[in-house]
Amino acid sequence: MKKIISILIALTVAANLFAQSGESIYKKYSGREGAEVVYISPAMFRLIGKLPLETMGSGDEMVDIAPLVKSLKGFYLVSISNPAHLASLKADVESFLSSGKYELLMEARDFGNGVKIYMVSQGDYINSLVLLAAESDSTTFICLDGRILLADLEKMLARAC
Amino acid sequence: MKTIDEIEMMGLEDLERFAADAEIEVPEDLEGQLGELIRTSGMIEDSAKFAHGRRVLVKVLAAAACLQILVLGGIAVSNRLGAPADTFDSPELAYASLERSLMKMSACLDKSRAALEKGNEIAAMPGNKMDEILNKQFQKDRQ
Repeated sequence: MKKIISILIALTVAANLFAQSGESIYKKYSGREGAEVVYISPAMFRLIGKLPLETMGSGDEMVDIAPLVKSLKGFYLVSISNPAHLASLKADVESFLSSGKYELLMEARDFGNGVKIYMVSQGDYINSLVLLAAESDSTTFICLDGRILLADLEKMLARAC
Repeated sequence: MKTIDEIEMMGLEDLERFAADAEIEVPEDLEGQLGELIRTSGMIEDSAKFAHGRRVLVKVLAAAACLQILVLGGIAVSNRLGAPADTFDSPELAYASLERSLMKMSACLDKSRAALEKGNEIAAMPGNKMDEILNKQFQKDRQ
């Protein structure tokens, strides 16, 4: 019995090694025809955090996003306009989301186009934020990994408006 | 009493005759004992077959797990080694791209917030359609 349990644990560990992630999706579609991909590494985030333009805003809305940007661990963007890969990207992202601890933050539908934002949260912090925008002629996947304070993210999104 | 060598030298007829002459006591429950023995040996055989099957299953599972760990471990290591390179060389460009994405997320959130506010406004309106329907239903129930 112990042997069977050990084997099952080993199989689970092995399956986790192969689990989908933002990185694996980025790698899969990187270089494909009709795909626009962007990756920002933690090192680049640290450099962004040193840029002088990072302390912005005014009055109560003033926010220093440098520490926030520095806490980001990875940014993946995959935008596909090739009709052959639209459904495939959507399926891969949905598989990735269903295998993790993602919860739906919001969903907006507009004439057949759907945008969903998912997140993994832990208390007041967000560990991962994913956007999946499925339009008739393109599908976009954005994954932002890092330990972000929810309030800081709200400020950053408000500033990006 | 004959020795084994003597018995081995005897022919079949001699043996049959010798067996017929001999007064050998047959236990009363010999048949029952033999049946019990046969049943027990069958159970032992079944148990041995089950144990053998389990050992084979464990071996097959272990081999499959080892193979999977090796293959997937190799893939995972190669993925780690082949970490993606930064798309942008300059932090300014990287930040611009990040900001564009955040704008997209923000626009989405704004859209949902606007829809929520619109819903709240409709719900707060006096004499709106929903209230009319609910009031009519309430009146009907009271009658």
